[in-house]
Amino acid sequence: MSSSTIGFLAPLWLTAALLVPLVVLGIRSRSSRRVPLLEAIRAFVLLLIVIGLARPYFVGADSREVAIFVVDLSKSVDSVARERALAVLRQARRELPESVVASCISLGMRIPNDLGFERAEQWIDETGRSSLATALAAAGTAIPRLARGSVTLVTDGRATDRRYGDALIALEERGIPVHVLELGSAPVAPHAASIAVDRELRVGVESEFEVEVVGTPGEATIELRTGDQTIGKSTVALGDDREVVRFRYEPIAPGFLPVQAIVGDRMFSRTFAVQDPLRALYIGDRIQGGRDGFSALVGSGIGFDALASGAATEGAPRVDLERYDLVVIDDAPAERFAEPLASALRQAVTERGLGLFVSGGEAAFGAGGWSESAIAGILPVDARQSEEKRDPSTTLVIIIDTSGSMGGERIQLAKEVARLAMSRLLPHDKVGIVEFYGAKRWAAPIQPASNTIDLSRAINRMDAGGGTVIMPAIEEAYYGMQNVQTRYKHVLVLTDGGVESGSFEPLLRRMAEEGINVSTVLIGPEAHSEFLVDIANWGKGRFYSVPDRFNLPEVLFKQPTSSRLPAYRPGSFALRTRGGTGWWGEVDPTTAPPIGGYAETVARPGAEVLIEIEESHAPLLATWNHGLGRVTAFTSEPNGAGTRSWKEWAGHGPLLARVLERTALDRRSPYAFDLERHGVEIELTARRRFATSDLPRAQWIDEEGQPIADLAFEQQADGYFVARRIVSPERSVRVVASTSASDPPRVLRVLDPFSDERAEDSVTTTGSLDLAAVARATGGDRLTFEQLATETPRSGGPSSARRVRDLSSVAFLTALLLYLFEIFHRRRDRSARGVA
Amino acid sequence: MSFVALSLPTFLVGIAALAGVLFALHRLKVRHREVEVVTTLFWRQALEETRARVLVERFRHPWIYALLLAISALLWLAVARPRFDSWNERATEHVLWIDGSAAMARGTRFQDALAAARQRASELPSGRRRIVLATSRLETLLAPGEDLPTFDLRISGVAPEPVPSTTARHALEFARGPRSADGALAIEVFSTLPIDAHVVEALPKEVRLVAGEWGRATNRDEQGNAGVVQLGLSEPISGAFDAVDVFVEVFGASEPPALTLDGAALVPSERGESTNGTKWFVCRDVLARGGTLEARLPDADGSPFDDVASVVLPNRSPIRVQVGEGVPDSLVAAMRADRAVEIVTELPDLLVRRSNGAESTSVPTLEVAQPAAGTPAFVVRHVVIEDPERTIREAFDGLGLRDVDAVDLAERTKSPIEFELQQAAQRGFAIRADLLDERYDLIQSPAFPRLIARTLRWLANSEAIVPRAAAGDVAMQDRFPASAGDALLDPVGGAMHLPRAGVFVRGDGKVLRAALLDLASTSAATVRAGSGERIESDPEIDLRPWIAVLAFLLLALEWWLVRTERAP
Repeated sequence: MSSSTIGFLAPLWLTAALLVPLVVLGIRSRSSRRVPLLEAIRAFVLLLIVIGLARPYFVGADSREVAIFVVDLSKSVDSVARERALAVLRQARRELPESVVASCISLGMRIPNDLGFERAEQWIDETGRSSLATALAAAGTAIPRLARGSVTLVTDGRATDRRYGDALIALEERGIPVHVLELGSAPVAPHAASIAVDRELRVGVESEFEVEVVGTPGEATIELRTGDQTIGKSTVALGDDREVVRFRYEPIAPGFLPVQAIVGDRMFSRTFAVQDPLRALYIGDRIQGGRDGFSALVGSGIGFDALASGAATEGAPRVDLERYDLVVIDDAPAERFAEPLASALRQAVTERGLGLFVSGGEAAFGAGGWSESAIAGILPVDARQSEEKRDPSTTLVIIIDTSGSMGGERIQLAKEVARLAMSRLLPHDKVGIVEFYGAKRWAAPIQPASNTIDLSRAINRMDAGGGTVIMPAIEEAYYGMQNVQTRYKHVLVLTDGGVESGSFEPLLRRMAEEGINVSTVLIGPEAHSEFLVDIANWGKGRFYSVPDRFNLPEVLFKQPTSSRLPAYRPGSFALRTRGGTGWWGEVDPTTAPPIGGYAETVARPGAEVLIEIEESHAPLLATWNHGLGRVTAFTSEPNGAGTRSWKEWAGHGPLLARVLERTALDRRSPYAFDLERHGVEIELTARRRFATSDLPRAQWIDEEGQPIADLAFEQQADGYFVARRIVSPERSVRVVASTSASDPPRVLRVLDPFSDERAEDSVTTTGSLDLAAVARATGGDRLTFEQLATETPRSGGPSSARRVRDLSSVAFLTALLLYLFEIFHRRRDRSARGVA
Repeated sequence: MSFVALSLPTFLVGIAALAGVLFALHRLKVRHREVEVVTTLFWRQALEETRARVLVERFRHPWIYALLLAISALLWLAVARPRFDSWNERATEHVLWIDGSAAMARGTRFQDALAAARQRASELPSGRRRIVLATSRLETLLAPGEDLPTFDLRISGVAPEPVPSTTARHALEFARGPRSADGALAIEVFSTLPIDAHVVEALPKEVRLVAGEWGRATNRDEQGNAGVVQLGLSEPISGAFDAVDVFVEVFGASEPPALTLDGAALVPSERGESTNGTKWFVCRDVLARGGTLEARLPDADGSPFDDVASVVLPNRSPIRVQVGEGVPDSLVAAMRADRAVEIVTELPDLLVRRSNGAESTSVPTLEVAQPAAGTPAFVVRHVVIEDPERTIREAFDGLGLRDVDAVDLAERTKSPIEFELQQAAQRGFAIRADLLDERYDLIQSPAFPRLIARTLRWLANSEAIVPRAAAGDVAMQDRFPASAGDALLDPVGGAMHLPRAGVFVRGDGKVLRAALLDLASTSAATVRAGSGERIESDPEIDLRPWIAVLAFLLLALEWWLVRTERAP
């Protein structure tokens, strides 16, 4: 379209112009004569009417501006300020020049008709909401594309929602300034503005409701209820315009929990999702009915499944640990566990965050053989302390051949071997040295191995010379050992092999039967001596060959063994408690009675010991984080002999329940689900927490739990899924989310109607729309009442706006004026009518 | 009734003036002079040449006066353009809704939609019709009462935007927004995308929303289309701090898009096919140093908007931390366990030290404060504190202070656990030294490593991984990490939608690239000719043509009366 264009909106009417000459020229009496001027005027009049009917228009530059006034007349605005704003608006409208097309959008109430706006829209919500975002969006839409305009926002800034970003960006992009005039807010009586919880509500787990109370300073009494049940009552002194009051509550059933906060005559309601109780796997079939007893003790907050009999053994089907938040091993010996299950447990704790609670008495910890299990490393207590490695006492008699054949290097080698053998001994061992050189002699009688100086001297004194008669030396050793009480007895014969033959076998076999072993060492370059081998065999010892000093043998004559100490300590043991309210909750730690028995362990560095035995400082209840999970050890039977003294203690069950709950994984689902409302849209996100091949699923359900619709997820990033759906803000949304796995854990989420909004009189000063920022961002001005009344709002937008002018009124007006002239002309001169 | 072109007083004054003028003219008396003529042949000429004298005579022929007044009044009424407001308020308001989203950019869809809407508008009463264009925002192309040539003016330069359809959101907000009348609202949508049934469900009962009727087929000359429909980032499975895993999904293409990071090619390590026919690809451990990752499909096709998508990766350089003398081992251990932290001896991003007075540093600090009377347990230092209450709240949530069992700590330490907010030249965080004592619960608690990790990231201004930046997505602002001047496009906070695909600069100067990433836009089928629905309009009583025609007829009548000397 060119810069100035003329056209017709209803050009068909132009065909009526054909009637004009017919009327003008065709209508006259026979006697009348032609009156050209009059006929021309009349023809023009009729033609102009036809043109008017055809609706001519003209396109030209547009000097008009569109001014939109958004006036907040909602109840949060101070009534005086409201009246003043209306008065000023009335004056402002009067002062606006003709070139300004002014419209008004009011919030909360209808503006009076006499304000004189071309168009007046109102947004009146029965629930008392006043959305500045909606009003600003409507204002932007009311200024047509390519038109210049402005928005003047008259408000106290207290908006029921904070979705004004889109509207402001749109205005900013179009260059339309938003001028602001700030009104005062009306005082509001104290009332509950919101209810939140400090943690996700779960059956059997105590959480804290946080009720936000807003209003003018003063005292307010808050009652928190769910249905007919009063959760708590509290009186708060409102110093500022906001205060938070807390109430503790423990849900008893999963589902959706409506909660009401009542302050004075106003009530605020919100629905919370209560998650299913924790799911625990109970392993501990040593005690008959152990699971049920355990379950009864900790209450409804945890549901226990017992591990099927034999499920933990080698070759049993894999246990699906992903179904559980917690595994409880209760007084179960490690031998019942196949290695795959123990490893899977360890992996689930470390990598998935599974909680592990290990408890028990005589069959647990060290006594239960857990120290060698894959789980031992993740326990907060060291169970190995309950085992003792024993190095058994040994009597060693070294028989050294000091005959002439051992001269030179050989005797030195023999001494080296003897020293080496003695160095393997511990102080509680005994050593004797017999030399033989045709005769036998105790170079050092049997004595503690710790007498190293005397023994070394005895060896050093030896020298080679004489014959080789070994039999008496062995007999001497044998008899010398008769009165010695050690676990092992050993004779070591060091010789070059040139020994007499004889009936060694009966003696050596007898010695072996009595637990005295005989080993032989061949000193010298000969690699083998059949005779010495036989001696070693008969004596159930070993044969060694020492050709030179560089090949000294590791002489073995005893094997260290380990034995278990009695790890479980029965008795009555006073306790010392630690830890804060996080672990103890309402339970008073000082009231814990003495314990009736415990398995002795040592707390590992980094473990938090919540209860310890006063006398031995051994931990009774210790916990720590391992990987992503938490592991807690209770070194007595929670429901057995050890805690029999706790039966009457009121804190027994609550403490155990709290400890289990804090130990358990609270994010069993592989996905973290988050449900949000953005105006007319809800958005459910599922963020993967740990590796899984399962996909997220979600279903929208009604108040009876019946499915309404599935929510379809789309994957937006690896492990990040989003489901969106348009939902009326008036509707509540209840969602059950889970995964594609079989029997997956479910997660409940809920949104109340208008959950992303709040009542405007509940909006605090800091939660209000920042009017200065609005003006700054859009290039608008902060106005005073006087400026609003007298100044034309500054407009923005395209500078070359054009408009279509309807010329039909001009045509009709021209026709009217011509018609009047025609009458005048006619009346002035009779002849003008063509009358003779 | 009101008038479009005149105010009511003006109209009434005009009527009165007309009556008066006509009355005056009606009392004009025509007196003729006597002229002698020599022959009757000159009679007619003499008559014509004789001037009538204008005098006042008595009021005669009232019916003639009434006729003249009626004609004049009708013409004046036509000038004024009468409008019956009370009737209009109850009538249905028609909104012709043109979808300006990416799905309309293919072929001649958008032009066809404009034409169809114009055609439909011509059939509707001008006072009760409106044409709007829904792109990233909702704009009026034709307001009620405006004439169609105005629409032609306003569509100059208008084009679809690279944004998923905003019809659902905007239509619901529009339908629920301010209204000038209580009548019904009929919205006819001109789009190739189907109407979301959930939108219809969510509408107020007086609002109807239907697919508009397209007069002609829109599938002329359209090519098939392939596009990138997802480009998302996530924490790497490997656990590396300075890397992200990249997920790309394409529609209509069998091969992966060309993936580049600042121009260097990337090769997907995993691929698969979704149930909806799309194909996805994953690149693991892509270095996250603020580079631009681009996914580009090789061939140009039906729509240019979805052939390329790009995203700015977060800058996740390891945090260089210099540890000063006397820092407790528990704190150092927590930092060493954090993959994001690199303990250095020079050029640190952060300093961790025991507080030693008020000396300032050029880098943010995490301080272990000496316990003394009045020393708060935790101190957070900000450069700018615009809203203390919000900043405190964000500190509790953002840094994880909420997870600290303050009651327990207070009981154990026998001292109050106080939190203080301070304004300083550098960001900072201080923790009272005695809280790190192993006698207390804090360093053993899971809250401790979380607190330290989050604090270090906040101090170092480390960027979080945002899964994706797509046009039309709600961009929730995480205001805490950047403290001040960090508004994401929106200067006043609150949630907002990313307007369209493109490059944006955030308030803190960081660049944000938003891509289209919308399967519906990429796969949108063409609309069938003749489909859609028309919502019947209430008949409009436009009196002006009738007034004008009546005036025309009365003028003809009066002309006949005059010319036949039945009227003076």
